[in-house]
Amino acid sequence: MLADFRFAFRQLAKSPGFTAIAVATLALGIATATTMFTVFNAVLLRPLPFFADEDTLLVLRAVNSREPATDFEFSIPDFEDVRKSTQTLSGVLTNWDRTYILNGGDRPKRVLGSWITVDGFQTLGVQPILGRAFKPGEEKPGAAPVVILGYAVWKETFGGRADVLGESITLNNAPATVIGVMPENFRFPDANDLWQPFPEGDEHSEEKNRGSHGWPVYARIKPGYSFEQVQAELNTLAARLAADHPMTNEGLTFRALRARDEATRDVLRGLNLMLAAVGAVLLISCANVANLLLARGSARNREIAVRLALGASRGRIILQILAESLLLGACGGAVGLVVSFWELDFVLGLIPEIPYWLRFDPDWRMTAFIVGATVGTSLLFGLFPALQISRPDLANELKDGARGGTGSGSAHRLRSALVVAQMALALVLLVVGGLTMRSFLKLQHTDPGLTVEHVLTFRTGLPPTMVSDEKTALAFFEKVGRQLRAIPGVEAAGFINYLPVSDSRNRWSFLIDGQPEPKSNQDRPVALTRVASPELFATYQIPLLQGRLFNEHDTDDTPLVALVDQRFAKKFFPAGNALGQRLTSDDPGPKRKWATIVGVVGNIVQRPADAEEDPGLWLSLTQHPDNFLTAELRVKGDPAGYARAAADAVLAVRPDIPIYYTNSMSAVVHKALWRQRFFGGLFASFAGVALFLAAIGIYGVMSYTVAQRTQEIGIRMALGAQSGAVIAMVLRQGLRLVAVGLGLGFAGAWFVALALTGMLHGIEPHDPPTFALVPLLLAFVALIACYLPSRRATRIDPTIALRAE
Amino acid sequence: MSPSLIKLDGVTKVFLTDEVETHALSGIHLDIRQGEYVAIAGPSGCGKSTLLSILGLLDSPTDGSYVLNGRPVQSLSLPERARIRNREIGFIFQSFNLIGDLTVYENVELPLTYRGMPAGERKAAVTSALEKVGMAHRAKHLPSQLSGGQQQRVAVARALAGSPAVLLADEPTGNLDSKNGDSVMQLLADLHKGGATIVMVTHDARFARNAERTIHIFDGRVVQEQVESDPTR
Repeated sequence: MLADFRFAFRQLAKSPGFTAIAVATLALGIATATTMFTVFNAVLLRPLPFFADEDTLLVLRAVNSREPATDFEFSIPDFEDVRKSTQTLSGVLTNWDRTYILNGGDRPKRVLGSWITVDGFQTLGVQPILGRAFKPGEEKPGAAPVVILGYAVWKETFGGRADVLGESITLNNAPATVIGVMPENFRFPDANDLWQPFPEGDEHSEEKNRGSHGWPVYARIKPGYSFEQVQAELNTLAARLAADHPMTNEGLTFRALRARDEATRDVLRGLNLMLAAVGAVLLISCANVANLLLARGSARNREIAVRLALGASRGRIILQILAESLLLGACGGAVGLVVSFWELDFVLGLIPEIPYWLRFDPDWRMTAFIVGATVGTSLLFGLFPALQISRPDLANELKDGARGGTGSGSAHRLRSALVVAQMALALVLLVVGGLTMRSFLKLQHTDPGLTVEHVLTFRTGLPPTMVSDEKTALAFFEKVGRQLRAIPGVEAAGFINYLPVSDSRNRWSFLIDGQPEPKSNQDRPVALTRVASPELFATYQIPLLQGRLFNEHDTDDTPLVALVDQRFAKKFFPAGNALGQRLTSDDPGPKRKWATIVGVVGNIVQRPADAEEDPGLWLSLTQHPDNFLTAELRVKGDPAGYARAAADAVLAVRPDIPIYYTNSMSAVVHKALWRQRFFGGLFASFAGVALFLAAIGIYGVMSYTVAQRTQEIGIRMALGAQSGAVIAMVLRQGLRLVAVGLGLGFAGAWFVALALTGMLHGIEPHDPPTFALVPLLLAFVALIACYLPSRRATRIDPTIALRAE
Repeated sequence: MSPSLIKLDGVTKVFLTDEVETHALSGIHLDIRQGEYVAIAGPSGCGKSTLLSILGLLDSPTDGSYVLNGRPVQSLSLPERARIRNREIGFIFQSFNLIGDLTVYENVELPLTYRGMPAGERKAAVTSALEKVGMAHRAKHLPSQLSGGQQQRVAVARALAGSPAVLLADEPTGNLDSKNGDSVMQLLADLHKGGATIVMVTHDARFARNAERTIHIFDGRVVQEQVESDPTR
């Protein structure tokens, strides 16, 4: 076998052109596959870091049985009931993300922290690297406030000092004692950098807030219980709560998901499709190299025949040829590995926020994949040619003057089949790439309903411990608004609670005055609800269509007012009589308040990836003050140039309050579409690679065919065939293969496109332009790939061609 | 009389191409004994190379029986045929058929490698074969660095190295000038003197006379057998 590898090495070294093309083709396929496997491995296969025994770590979600496809977070009273009642869960935790402001540096610094139930880290199975986790009692009212630092905050703000433990620090104007430091990169649940115990008796745990959902719940299966038993218990608990609290819980069920499943479900289908796509690219690479080997093998018929004549068994010859394939595969794998590092950087660069629990460094799975891909592809592209080449017509090949490499009929059929397969796979990939890119472009060109250009956005606010009441917060924002509007170049400035064109949203179930009271909140209609200052509409240039906008006369002393968008008006008041109608989200009772619709405004996009946006409802900031808001500034010129002035404007009002999430609105929109751009871009890239490889494939086969038919073409030309006739003859042969490939590919693409259902926006999976243009594109490229060898055929000198015989 | 090494009985070979049936060999009866030097002669296209292919188990007869070294071989499996080719038959081709990417030594070693012979034994056998043909000093050369005559000597060494029961030579001088051709023929004669059984296809009557017996073939049939009185003259 060693001799076979030595010989294979010599053979490859002797043909640097062939070797380079084969290695490059394989490297391209293996690199793409390795890159995507690295992502797939990180997301779906590698054990979650930090968390012990991930199979028993669950996420619990609430489900409105009227809309079972969507789920949402818990209310605190429901969470408490589950926690107290469960027999199948050893721990149940929730958290609440909070802004913390650290003062002490040149400028105040904002850190995203979290309240986490006191036994949360035990339930997650993660321990601080320094100090200790929270102890029972530290969540009780009156307990000494404590904090656990994230690794980055510990390093950057406290210099990584071990003696930070026991130190009292000021968080949001309140003291807290540092009791621990979490491991590096641990940022549960998303991007959090410090944690405090979730205080017992928080207002959200009051019974009136049972219908207020917004708290993520994690749980650990108790040893001895199964996932199914947990789900059964949750069903029982949900039924009991529905009976006890029909208004909020009728029709509400609970769903358990494994933590990884929950974390990956948004990208799972895309990743699976992606893996299938890179598999197809790899197959096309293999088909290309197999074709190269077949063509080369035809030239080696004499050598193989000699070996067989000398007593080599066919198996031995196959092994010898496979040794060459393995050597090629190993070279392709090595180059592919290097290229994959670069590709991975590129792919990860497309993801704006990589979850903290993802790891992309090499592990045994990646090693196994690369070895498997290398050996697997080597066998795949090597075996068919080896089987083909290892059975030459011995008696003929060994004759003196045997031409060698005339190519048997079965070899020709195999080469043709490989080209057909390449064409078909390339068409499937091109259609998928075309559909996802068209979907992305449609989304990108969707009118968001608001001005995106020249708008700067940032978030700021006052943590509850830093203000006495919401009126103070409102006054703060009014002052900040005035400061912002005074910045030279700022044309308008307003505030909103949830940034449009992003993943965030607030859904509000409501009741229209005059309609029957539903039995349960689950039966109420739902709207996307935004709280905004009066100036926001001018800032975003959202058009007023009917009535009026909010104004300074809408205060907490005046009747509540609301604006609705066109979708809302059309859905609930199709007769056009939205103005003057009244809405409420309150439960029945004397404290119920009604908001009157005073205006209808244009639609804006909240979550661009949603197939259908909920109707939109606007509430006035002056009547619904909030501690934290997003500021929007419409400016002259580049928004980035106003970031410093905006921060200074806030500091001028409160020197201890920072701004954060500073971005241009264009960047926000860009980020909001990252998934579509990511999948669309990558699918299109794979399709491009497939197109390139398929073109090389058909070009190679047609070049080989022309070379094999040199004498025949020479005879035809000697007999007077015109160039056009020769070109037509060669083209006919090539395009016949292309047509078969396109036919099969079209059928395959038709079925594969169905897998994209729900992932596309603004187009159908069987989008006619894509299905019409993509095959034409591939056919055109194939035509060129066939034309070049056919043109070469016309340059054959008949005298030389005939002498070749 | 030495025992029979090759015995063909009623061997026919029919090639089918599309709708055309070509009878390359028709009822060949042949008996070659150990240590014999037999030439197969005839005009181009008469079937002599087809006969040699069948004798060398490179092809199988359409009908008839073939007994090699006492064993019927006309219907063996491909692996078994390869095994017999490797151990019992040495080939010498008109166009040498050395593998261009292997050195002289490696070319000669090749059939022994396929036999699974240990490296030490291989080395001894290869060295001995190269010495017999006077090519030991060129062991590290590539075939392209040798003259045609030298290449054919290496091919003879390769055929000899495994000590086969029979050497099959297909127009061994066909690609050589007369001087090199004579030299190769002398080499075969020397091997025959050493006890080798040789079957040689040739259309050159001059070289056929080197054999003890010449079998003339025409249109796929044996038309004449001629025994040379003094094959060395």
